[in-house]
Amino acid sequence: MIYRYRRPLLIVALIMVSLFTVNFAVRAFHHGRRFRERTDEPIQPWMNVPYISRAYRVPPQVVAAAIGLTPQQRDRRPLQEIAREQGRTAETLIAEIMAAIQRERAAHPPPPVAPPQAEQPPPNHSSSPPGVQP
Amino acid sequence: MTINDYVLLGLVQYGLPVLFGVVLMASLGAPLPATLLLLTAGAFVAEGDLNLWWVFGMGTSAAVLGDHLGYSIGRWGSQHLVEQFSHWGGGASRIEQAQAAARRWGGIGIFLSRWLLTPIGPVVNLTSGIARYSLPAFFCFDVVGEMMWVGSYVTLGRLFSDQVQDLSGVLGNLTWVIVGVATMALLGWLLLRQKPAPVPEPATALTSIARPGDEM
Repeated sequence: MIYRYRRPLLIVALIMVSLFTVNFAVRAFHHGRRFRERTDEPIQPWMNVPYISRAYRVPPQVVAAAIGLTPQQRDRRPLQEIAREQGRTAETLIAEIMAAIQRERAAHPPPPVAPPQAEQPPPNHSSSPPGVQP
Repeated sequence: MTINDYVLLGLVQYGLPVLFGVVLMASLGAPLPATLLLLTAGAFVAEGDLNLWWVFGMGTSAAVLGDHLGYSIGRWGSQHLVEQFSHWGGGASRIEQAQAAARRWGGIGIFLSRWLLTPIGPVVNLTSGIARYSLPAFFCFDVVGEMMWVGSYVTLGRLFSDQVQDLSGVLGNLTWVIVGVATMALLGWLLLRQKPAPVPEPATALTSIARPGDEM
């Protein structure tokens, strides 16, 4: 019986797999664009201070101080655990860290990216002052 | 929190045992984010929180162990499973064909499904066992493929440790795109290979054929 409908079944399967593939291709493209543009990853409760510091390219002392940790010690606990110990929520800590990162970036903005060198126009010989080689 | 968040929280809190357990379960077919875990472990290697060789060793061991458990289930686990497979596959002759195909193409299939077509890895383990693919050959292809998978993902996590989540999104989705394209190629080949349904001939023609001895 199934052999009678084999061809239509194969065509339906091919269409479904095509849609499935396009869906994943679009998602891969979306993540690829974020990756290329170095978009900041949202801070999650599993992240720890060194990880956030590296992901947001700010000194770890800034992140640690924002949530009341001693900047000298290297704390590797996740935010969720720190929040539980402090009797607060991970969302509160994330908001405080984000505010501190924005202050740090405003105080120390990253160096501007140099625009690509435009082609130099050909020197105008007629306007050169006498005696100056173009 | 999503399952990804819980798995990564476990990695930050407990380290390598969580890495081992999650990779083992994912190799058996559990829907766990092993790729994201390896990339994140690579980022923690870059931080100095985890040791590169321990991550590489534990990740590869867990993946190889999980693959061999899947193979063993297919080969020795359940006669009922083999009978079902035989029934769905079209009988004992089809099983013999599958075994011959596994001997011929199994090695490359096992190797590619370790690091490139990872979503089909657990199915390949099971079918390799059912098709009685040589265990020493399965072991060799499996170990080399898993070393490539763990090594490449941990290295990428180390190199791009500030963009692990987006990198995981790119690689995870691209893997499914590759699986999808391979499936489309297979379905297209099956469609082209299939002969069109025969058109019934008129009754007069049938009667003329039915009479032996007639001249054309």
